[in-house]
Amino acid sequence: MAWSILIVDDSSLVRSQLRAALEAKGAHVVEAENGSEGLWRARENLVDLVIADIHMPVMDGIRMVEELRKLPEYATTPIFILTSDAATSRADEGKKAGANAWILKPVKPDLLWKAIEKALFGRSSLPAVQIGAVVPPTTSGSK
Amino acid sequence: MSGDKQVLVVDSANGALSFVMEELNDLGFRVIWVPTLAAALEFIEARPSLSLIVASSAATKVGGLEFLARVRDFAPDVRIIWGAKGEAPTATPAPTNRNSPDSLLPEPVRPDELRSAISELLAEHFYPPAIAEAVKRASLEVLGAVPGFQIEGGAFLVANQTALSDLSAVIPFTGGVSGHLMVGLTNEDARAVYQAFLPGVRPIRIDRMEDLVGELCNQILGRINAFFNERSVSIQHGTPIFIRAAGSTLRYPGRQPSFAVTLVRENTRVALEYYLAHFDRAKLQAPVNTRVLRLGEIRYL
Repeated sequence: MAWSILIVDDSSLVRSQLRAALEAKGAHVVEAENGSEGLWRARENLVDLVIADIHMPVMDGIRMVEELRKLPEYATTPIFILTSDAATSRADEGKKAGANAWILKPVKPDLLWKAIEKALFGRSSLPAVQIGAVVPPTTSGSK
Repeated sequence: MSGDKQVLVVDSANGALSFVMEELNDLGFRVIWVPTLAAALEFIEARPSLSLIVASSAATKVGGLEFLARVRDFAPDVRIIWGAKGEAPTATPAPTNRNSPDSLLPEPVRPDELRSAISELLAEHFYPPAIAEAVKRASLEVLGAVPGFQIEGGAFLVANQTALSDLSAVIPFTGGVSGHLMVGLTNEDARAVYQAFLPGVRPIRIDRMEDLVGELCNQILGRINAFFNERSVSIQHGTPIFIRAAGSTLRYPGRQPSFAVTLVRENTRVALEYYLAHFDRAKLQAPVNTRVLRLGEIRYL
Protein backbone atom coordinates (compact mmCIF):
# COMPACT_ATOMS: atom_id res chain seq x y z
CA MET A 1 0.00 0.00 0.00
CA ALA A 2 1.46 3.37 -1.04
CA TRP A 3 1.36 6.65 0.79
CA SER A 4 -1.32 8.97 -0.46
CA ILE A 5 -0.29 12.61 -0.87
CA LEU A 6 -2.50 15.60 -1.67
CA ILE A 7 -0.88 18.41 -3.67
CA VAL A 8 -2.70 21.73 -3.56
CA ASP A 9 -1.28 24.35 -5.90
CA ASP A 10 -2.81 26.63 -8.51
CA SER A 11 0.16 26.02 -10.81
CA SER A 12 -0.31 23.00 -13.04
CA LEU A 13 3.46 23.03 -13.63
CA VAL A 14 4.20 22.63 -9.92
CA ARG A 15 1.54 19.95 -9.53
CA SER A 16 2.91 18.05 -12.51
CA GLN A 17 6.50 18.33 -11.26
CA LEU A 18 5.53 17.10 -7.81
CA ARG A 19 3.35 14.33 -9.18
CA ALA A 20 6.20 13.06 -11.34
CA ALA A 21 8.66 13.17 -8.44
CA LEU A 22 6.33 11.57 -5.88
CA GLU A 23 4.92 8.88 -8.16
CA ALA A 24 8.50 7.92 -9.00
CA LYS A 25 8.87 7.14 -5.29
CA GLY A 26 5.71 5.07 -5.26
CA ALA A 27 3.32 7.59 -3.77
CA HIS A 28 -0.30 7.92 -4.82
CA VAL A 29 -0.98 11.56 -5.72
CA VAL A 30 -4.20 13.52 -5.50
CA GLU A 31 -4.29 17.07 -6.91
CA ALA A 32 -6.28 20.21 -6.20
CA GLU A 33 -6.02 23.68 -7.73
CA ASN A 34 -6.93 25.78 -4.72
CA GLY A 35 -7.65 25.56 -1.02
CA SER A 36 -11.36 25.00 -1.45
CA GLU A 37 -10.85 22.10 -3.84
CA GLY A 38 -8.07 20.86 -1.56
CA LEU A 39 -10.49 20.58 1.34
CA TRP A 40 -12.95 18.71 -0.81
CA ARG A 41 -10.28 16.31 -2.13
CA ALA A 42 -8.97 15.74 1.38
CA ARG A 43 -12.41 14.76 2.62
CA GLU A 44 -12.95 12.51 -0.37
CA ASN A 45 -9.54 10.81 -0.32
CA LEU A 46 -8.29 10.75 3.30
CA VAL A 47 -4.61 11.26 2.42
CA ASP A 48 -1.48 10.61 4.49
CA LEU A 49 0.22 13.94 3.83
CA VAL A 50 -0.70 17.31 2.34
CA ILE A 51 1.57 19.69 0.39
CA ALA A 52 -0.02 23.10 -0.12
CA ASP A 53 0.90 26.40 -1.72
CA ILE A 54 -0.15 29.65 -0.03
CA HIS A 55 -1.04 32.12 -2.75
CA MET A 56 -4.01 30.56 -4.49
CA PRO A 57 -7.32 31.88 -5.76
CA VAL A 58 -10.65 31.01 -4.10
CA MET A 59 -9.05 29.91 -0.81
CA ASP A 60 -5.42 30.39 0.18
CA GLY A 61 -3.24 27.70 1.70
CA ILE A 62 -3.17 29.07 5.25
CA ARG A 63 -6.96 29.13 5.44
CA MET A 64 -7.13 25.63 3.97
CA VAL A 65 -4.74 24.32 6.64
CA GLU A 66 -6.85 25.92 9.36
CA GLU A 67 -9.96 24.27 7.97
CA LEU A 68 -8.24 20.90 7.54
CA ARG A 69 -7.11 20.89 11.16
CA LYS A 70 -10.73 21.26 12.24
CA LEU A 71 -11.45 17.84 10.71
CA PRO A 72 -10.76 15.06 13.25
CA GLU A 73 -9.25 12.80 10.56
CA TYR A 74 -6.66 15.47 9.75
CA ALA A 75 -5.76 16.45 13.29
CA THR A 76 -2.28 14.91 13.07
CA THR A 77 -1.74 14.50 9.33
CA PRO A 78 1.57 16.10 8.24
CA ILE A 79 0.94 19.28 6.25
CA PHE A 80 3.76 20.98 4.36
CA ILE A 81 3.55 24.49 3.00
CA LEU A 82 5.44 24.75 -0.29
CA THR A 83 5.72 28.40 -1.16
CA SER A 84 7.89 31.11 -2.69
CA ASP A 85 7.49 33.17 0.50
CA ALA A 86 10.69 33.07 2.59
CA ALA A 87 9.54 35.41 5.37
CA THR A 88 9.70 33.77 8.76
CA SER A 89 6.68 35.81 9.85
CA ARG A 90 4.64 34.01 7.19
CA ALA A 91 6.04 30.70 8.38
CA ASP A 92 4.79 31.59 11.84
CA GLU A 93 1.33 32.09 10.35
CA GLY A 94 1.62 28.64 8.86
CA LYS A 95 2.57 27.19 12.21
CA LYS A 96 -0.37 28.89 13.89
CA ALA A 97 -2.68 27.45 11.23
CA GLY A 98 -1.33 23.98 11.94
CA ALA A 99 1.27 23.33 9.24
CA ASN A 100 4.24 21.11 10.10
CA ALA A 101 6.88 22.38 7.69
CA TRP A 102 7.67 25.37 5.51
CA ILE A 103 9.49 24.67 2.26
CA LEU A 104 10.67 27.16 -0.32
CA LYS A 105 10.04 26.86 -4.03
CA PRO A 106 11.74 25.72 -6.13
CA VAL A 107 12.38 22.57 -4.10
CA LYS A 108 14.59 19.72 -5.19
CA PRO A 109 12.57 16.49 -5.34
CA ASP A 110 15.08 14.55 -3.24
CA LEU A 111 14.96 17.15 -0.49
CA LEU A 112 11.18 17.10 -0.47
CA TRP A 113 11.10 13.32 -0.39
CA LYS A 114 13.43 13.23 2.61
CA ALA A 115 11.08 15.57 4.45
CA ILE A 116 8.11 13.41 3.51
CA GLU A 117 9.88 10.28 4.75
CA LYS A 118 10.78 12.00 7.98
CA ALA A 119 7.19 13.06 8.54
CA LEU A 120 5.63 9.74 7.60
CA PHE A 121 8.10 7.38 9.25
CA GLY A 122 7.26 9.12 12.48
CA ARG A 123 3.72 7.86 12.17
CA SER A 124 3.82 4.28 13.29
CA SER A 125 0.27 3.57 12.18
CA LEU A 126 1.17 4.15 8.56
CA PRO A 127 2.62 1.59 6.20
CA ALA A 128 6.13 2.40 5.06
CA VAL A 129 7.12 1.92 1.47
CA GLN A 130 10.73 1.10 0.75
CA ILE A 131 12.27 3.56 -1.64
CA GLY A 132 12.60 1.93 -5.02
CA ALA A 133 10.21 -0.89 -4.13
CA VAL A 134 7.59 -1.92 -6.61
CA VAL A 135 4.35 -0.46 -5.42
CA PRO A 136 0.99 -1.96 -6.35
CA PRO A 137 -1.73 0.37 -7.60
CA THR A 138 -3.72 2.02 -4.85
CA THR A 139 -7.41 2.28 -4.39
CA SER A 140 -8.95 5.68 -3.90
CA GLY A 141 -9.22 6.77 -0.30
CA SER A 142 -7.02 3.95 1.05
CA LYS A 143 -4.61 4.51 3.90
CA MET B 1 12.08 56.80 -5.50
CA SER B 2 14.71 59.43 -4.78
CA GLY B 3 13.84 63.07 -5.16
CA ASP B 4 16.99 64.05 -7.04
CA LYS B 5 16.00 62.81 -10.47
CA GLN B 6 16.87 66.08 -12.12
CA VAL B 7 19.03 66.40 -15.21
CA LEU B 8 20.61 69.47 -16.67
CA VAL B 9 21.00 69.44 -20.45
CA VAL B 10 23.43 71.96 -21.86
CA ASP B 11 22.77 72.35 -25.55
CA SER B 12 22.87 75.08 -28.14
CA ALA B 13 19.63 76.58 -29.30
CA ASN B 14 19.46 74.41 -32.44
CA GLY B 15 18.66 71.45 -30.18
CA ALA B 16 21.08 68.64 -31.13
CA LEU B 17 20.15 66.94 -27.87
CA SER B 18 16.38 67.36 -28.12
CA PHE B 19 15.86 63.60 -28.43
CA VAL B 20 18.12 63.14 -25.40
CA MET B 21 15.70 65.24 -23.41
CA GLU B 22 12.84 63.04 -24.54
CA GLU B 23 14.77 59.91 -23.56
CA LEU B 24 15.57 61.32 -20.14
CA ASN B 25 11.97 62.31 -19.68
CA ASP B 26 10.93 58.73 -20.51
CA LEU B 27 13.38 57.47 -17.89
CA GLY B 28 11.59 59.53 -15.27
CA PHE B 29 13.94 62.50 -14.98
CA ARG B 30 12.92 66.11 -14.70
CA VAL B 31 14.86 67.76 -17.50
CA ILE B 32 16.16 71.31 -17.35
CA TRP B 33 17.63 72.83 -20.49
CA VAL B 34 20.12 75.68 -20.66
CA PRO B 35 21.82 76.92 -23.86
CA THR B 36 25.28 77.79 -22.53
CA LEU B 37 27.88 76.72 -20.00
CA ALA B 38 27.54 80.08 -18.31
CA ALA B 39 23.85 79.51 -17.75
CA ALA B 40 24.58 75.98 -16.58
CA LEU B 41 27.09 77.25 -14.02
CA GLU B 42 24.63 79.81 -12.77
CA PHE B 43 22.11 77.02 -12.26
CA ILE B 44 24.58 74.72 -10.52
CA GLU B 45 25.87 77.41 -8.19
CA ALA B 46 22.37 77.61 -6.73
CA ARG B 47 23.10 74.06 -5.54
CA PRO B 48 20.02 72.32 -6.91
CA SER B 49 19.42 68.63 -6.37
CA LEU B 50 20.94 67.22 -9.54
CA SER B 51 21.79 63.74 -10.78
CA LEU B 52 23.27 64.29 -14.19
CA ILE B 53 24.55 66.83 -16.67
CA VAL B 54 24.47 66.09 -20.39
CA ALA B 55 26.36 68.62 -22.47
CA SER B 56 26.64 68.85 -26.25
CA SER B 57 29.86 69.69 -28.03
CA ALA B 58 28.18 72.73 -29.54
CA ALA B 59 27.70 74.18 -26.09
CA THR B 60 31.11 73.20 -24.73
CA LYS B 61 33.50 74.49 -27.38
CA VAL B 62 34.86 77.19 -25.12
CA GLY B 63 35.46 76.95 -21.39
CA GLY B 64 34.72 73.27 -21.03
CA LEU B 65 37.56 72.46 -18.64
CA GLU B 66 36.79 75.41 -16.41
CA PHE B 67 33.16 74.37 -16.37
CA LEU B 68 34.02 70.84 -15.32
CA ALA B 69 36.24 72.08 -12.51
CA ARG B 70 33.52 74.39 -11.24
CA VAL B 71 30.92 71.63 -11.36
CA ARG B 72 33.18 69.33 -9.36
CA ASP B 73 33.58 72.07 -6.76
CA PHE B 74 29.88 72.74 -6.36
CA ALA B 75 28.43 69.31 -7.05
CA PRO B 76 31.09 66.62 -6.73
CA ASP B 77 28.57 63.78 -6.94
CA VAL B 78 26.82 64.86 -10.10
CA ARG B 79 27.62 62.68 -13.11
CA ILE B 80 28.55 64.25 -16.45
CA ILE B 81 28.04 62.98 -19.99
CA TRP B 82 29.92 64.99 -22.54
CA GLY B 83 29.15 65.07 -26.24
CA ALA B 84 32.26 64.84 -28.41
CA LYS B 85 32.04 65.71 -32.08
CA GLY B 86 34.65 64.00 -34.24
CA GLU B 87 36.84 63.34 -31.24
CA ALA B 88 35.70 59.99 -29.95
CA PRO B 89 34.81 57.19 -32.37
CA THR B 90 32.84 55.23 -29.78
CA ALA B 91 31.44 55.75 -26.33
CA THR B 92 34.35 56.20 -23.98
CA PRO B 93 34.50 55.14 -20.35
CA ALA B 94 35.12 57.67 -17.67
CA PRO B 95 38.59 59.18 -17.62
CA THR B 96 40.24 59.20 -14.22
CA ASN B 97 40.98 62.92 -13.99
CA ARG B 98 38.76 64.62 -11.41
CA ASN B 99 37.93 67.37 -13.87
CA SER B 100 37.00 65.00 -16.67
CA PRO B 101 33.48 64.04 -17.65
CA ASP B 102 32.29 60.62 -16.51
CA SER B 103 31.42 59.55 -20.02
CA LEU B 104 32.24 60.80 -23.50
CA LEU B 105 29.69 60.14 -26.21
CA PRO B 106 30.36 60.69 -29.91
CA GLU B 107 27.93 63.03 -31.59
CA PRO B 108 25.41 62.65 -33.00
CA VAL B 109 24.52 60.74 -29.87
CA ARG B 110 22.92 57.35 -30.49
CA PRO B 111 19.97 56.46 -28.23
CA ASP B 112 21.38 53.05 -27.27
CA GLU B 113 24.73 54.55 -26.30
CA LEU B 114 23.03 57.25 -24.30
CA ARG B 115 20.89 54.71 -22.44
CA SER B 116 23.94 52.59 -21.76
CA ALA B 117 25.90 55.56 -20.40
CA ILE B 118 23.00 56.68 -18.20
CA SER B 119 22.53 53.14 -17.00
CA GLU B 120 26.15 52.81 -15.91
CA LEU B 121 26.31 56.23 -14.31
CA LEU B 122 22.92 56.41 -12.68
CA ALA B 123 21.64 52.94 -12.03
CA GLU B 124 22.18 53.41 -8.33
CA HIS B 125 19.88 56.42 -8.35
CA PHE B 126 17.01 54.10 -9.16
CA TYR B 127 18.18 50.71 -8.06
CA PRO B 128 21.00 50.42 -5.57
CA PRO B 129 23.42 47.73 -6.66
CA ALA B 130 22.25 45.45 -3.84
CA ILE B 131 18.74 45.35 -5.32
CA ALA B 132 20.08 44.80 -8.80
CA GLU B 133 22.12 41.88 -7.52
CA ALA B 134 19.12 40.50 -5.63
CA VAL B 135 17.02 40.52 -8.81
CA LYS B 136 19.73 38.77 -10.80
CA ARG B 137 20.41 36.22 -8.06
CA ALA B 138 16.70 35.46 -7.64
CA SER B 139 16.33 34.88 -11.38
CA LEU B 140 19.26 32.52 -11.50
CA GLU B 141 18.13 30.62 -8.40
CA VAL B 142 14.73 29.89 -9.87
CA LEU B 143 15.85 29.20 -13.41
CA GLY B 144 18.81 27.27 -12.02
CA ALA B 145 16.56 24.21 -12.01
CA VAL B 146 17.38 24.23 -15.72
CA PRO B 147 21.19 24.27 -15.94
CA GLY B 148 22.82 26.72 -18.27
CA PHE B 149 20.85 29.94 -17.84
CA GLN B 150 23.00 33.05 -17.63
CA ILE B 151 22.41 36.77 -17.30
CA GLU B 152 22.99 38.40 -20.66
CA GLY B 153 24.65 41.79 -20.78
CA GLY B 154 24.02 42.66 -17.18
CA ALA B 155 20.99 44.63 -16.18
CA PHE B 156 20.12 48.13 -17.16
CA LEU B 157 17.59 50.89 -17.06
CA VAL B 158 15.38 50.68 -20.05
CA ALA B 159 13.14 53.17 -21.75
CA ASN B 160 10.64 52.05 -24.38
CA GLN B 161 11.34 48.41 -23.68
CA THR B 162 9.45 45.87 -21.64
CA ALA B 163 9.37 42.22 -20.71
CA LEU B 164 5.96 42.03 -22.39
CA SER B 165 6.06 39.19 -24.88
CA ASP B 166 3.82 36.53 -26.42
CA LEU B 167 3.20 35.16 -22.93
CA SER B 168 3.72 37.38 -19.92
CA ALA B 169 2.81 37.41 -16.27
CA VAL B 170 2.92 40.36 -13.93
CA ILE B 171 2.62 40.39 -10.15
CA PRO B 172 2.11 43.75 -8.44
CA PHE B 173 3.32 44.02 -4.86
CA THR B 174 2.74 46.48 -2.04
CA GLY B 175 3.90 47.06 1.50
CA GLY B 176 7.34 48.29 2.53
CA VAL B 177 8.15 48.42 -1.18
CA SER B 178 5.71 48.62 -4.07
CA GLY B 179 5.99 47.93 -7.76
CA HIS B 180 5.71 44.95 -10.03
CA LEU B 181 7.65 42.09 -11.53
CA MET B 182 6.90 41.02 -15.09
CA VAL B 183 8.25 37.90 -16.77
CA GLY B 184 7.79 37.41 -20.50
CA LEU B 185 8.63 34.69 -22.99
CA THR B 186 7.86 34.06 -26.61
CA ASN B 187 5.71 31.00 -27.30
CA GLU B 188 8.73 29.15 -28.62
CA ASP B 189 10.89 29.98 -25.61
CA ALA B 190 8.09 29.10 -23.18
CA ARG B 191 7.76 25.70 -24.85
CA ALA B 192 11.52 25.12 -24.55
CA VAL B 193 11.63 26.08 -20.86
CA TYR B 194 8.56 23.96 -20.12
CA GLN B 195 10.17 20.94 -21.74
CA ALA B 196 13.30 21.56 -19.69
CA PHE B 197 11.31 21.77 -16.45
CA LEU B 198 9.03 18.88 -17.20
CA PRO B 199 10.43 16.57 -19.87
CA GLY B 200 8.11 14.19 -21.61
CA VAL B 201 4.88 16.12 -21.29
CA ARG B 202 3.06 16.38 -24.62
CA PRO B 203 1.34 18.36 -25.92
CA ILE B 204 2.34 21.57 -24.19
CA ARG B 205 -0.83 23.60 -24.45
CA ILE B 206 -0.78 27.38 -24.29
CA ASP B 207 -2.42 27.42 -20.86
CA ARG B 208 0.40 25.24 -19.53
CA MET B 209 3.00 27.62 -20.96
CA GLU B 210 1.10 30.54 -19.46
CA ASP B 211 1.14 28.76 -16.13
CA LEU B 212 4.90 28.28 -16.45
CA VAL B 213 5.43 32.02 -16.97
CA GLY B 214 3.22 32.80 -13.98
CA GLU B 215 5.04 30.35 -11.74
CA LEU B 216 8.44 31.71 -12.77
CA CYS B 217 7.21 35.20 -11.94
CA ASN B 218 5.86 34.02 -8.59
CA GLN B 219 9.01 32.16 -7.56
CA ILE B 220 11.43 34.85 -8.70
CA LEU B 221 9.44 37.54 -6.89
CA GLY B 222 9.49 35.39 -3.77
CA ARG B 223 13.28 35.20 -3.91
CA ILE B 224 13.58 38.96 -4.52
CA ASN B 225 11.23 39.65 -1.62
CA ALA B 226 13.46 37.57 0.65
CA PHE B 227 16.14 40.23 0.13
CA PHE B 228 13.76 42.85 1.57
CA ASN B 229 12.37 40.51 4.23
CA GLU B 230 15.91 40.17 5.60
CA ARG B 231 15.84 43.91 6.18
CA SER B 232 12.49 43.71 8.00
CA VAL B 233 10.56 45.05 5.02
CA SER B 234 7.28 43.21 4.63
CA ILE B 235 5.73 42.81 1.19
CA GLN B 236 2.33 41.58 0.13
CA HIS B 237 1.53 40.21 -3.29
CA GLY B 238 -1.15 38.17 -4.95
CA THR B 239 -1.33 35.73 -7.81
CA PRO B 240 0.02 36.43 -11.34
CA ILE B 241 -1.95 38.41 -13.88
CA PHE B 242 -1.51 36.83 -17.29
CA ILE B 243 -1.11 38.80 -20.48
CA ARG B 244 -1.15 37.29 -23.92
CA ALA B 245 0.32 39.79 -26.36
CA ALA B 246 1.52 37.85 -29.36
CA GLY B 247 4.46 39.54 -31.04
CA SER B 248 4.12 42.58 -28.84
CA THR B 249 6.91 45.10 -28.58
CA LEU B 250 4.71 47.57 -26.77
CA ARG B 251 6.16 49.32 -23.78
CA TYR B 252 4.51 49.09 -20.41
CA PRO B 253 3.32 52.70 -20.16
CA GLY B 254 3.93 54.67 -17.04
CA ARG B 255 6.25 52.08 -15.59
CA GLN B 256 9.62 53.51 -16.42
CA PRO B 257 12.36 53.18 -15.58
CA SER B 258 12.46 49.48 -14.99
CA PHE B 259 15.31 47.23 -14.08
CA ALA B 260 15.51 44.78 -16.95
CA VAL B 261 17.22 41.44 -16.91
CA THR B 262 17.41 38.90 -19.69
CA LEU B 263 18.34 35.31 -18.93
CA VAL B 264 19.64 33.28 -21.80
CA ARG B 265 20.21 29.58 -22.33
CA GLU B 266 21.32 28.67 -25.82
CA ASN B 267 18.60 30.28 -27.96
CA THR B 268 16.05 30.57 -25.17
CA ARG B 269 15.43 33.94 -23.58
CA VAL B 270 13.50 34.86 -20.44
CA ALA B 271 12.84 38.59 -20.00
CA LEU B 272 12.28 40.20 -16.61
CA GLU B 273 11.15 43.71 -15.78
CA TYR B 274 11.35 44.78 -12.14
CA TYR B 275 9.78 48.10 -11.35
CA LEU B 276 9.93 49.79 -7.98
CA ALA B 277 7.49 52.64 -7.50
CA HIS B 278 8.50 53.18 -3.93
CA PHE B 279 11.09 51.94 -1.47
CA ASP B 280 12.82 53.27 1.59
CA ARG B 281 16.51 53.64 0.83
CA ALA B 282 17.32 53.95 4.53
CA LYS B 283 16.15 50.38 5.05
CA LEU B 284 18.79 49.16 2.63
CA GLN B 285 21.54 50.74 4.70
CA ALA B 286 20.49 48.75 7.74
CA PRO B 287 22.27 45.46 8.34
CA VAL B 288 20.46 42.23 7.67
CA ASN B 289 18.47 41.69 10.84
CA THR B 290 15.68 39.24 10.06
CA ARG B 291 16.11 35.59 9.38
CA VAL B 292 14.55 34.29 6.19
CA LEU B 293 14.50 30.82 4.79
CA ARG B 294 17.22 29.89 2.34
CA LEU B 295 16.59 27.97 -0.81
CA GLY B 296 16.77 24.25 -0.11
CA GLU B 297 16.02 24.78 3.58
CA ILE B 298 13.06 23.18 5.29
CA ARG B 299 11.73 24.76 8.43
CA TYR B 300 9.90 22.34 10.68
CA LEU B 301 7.20 24.20 12.56
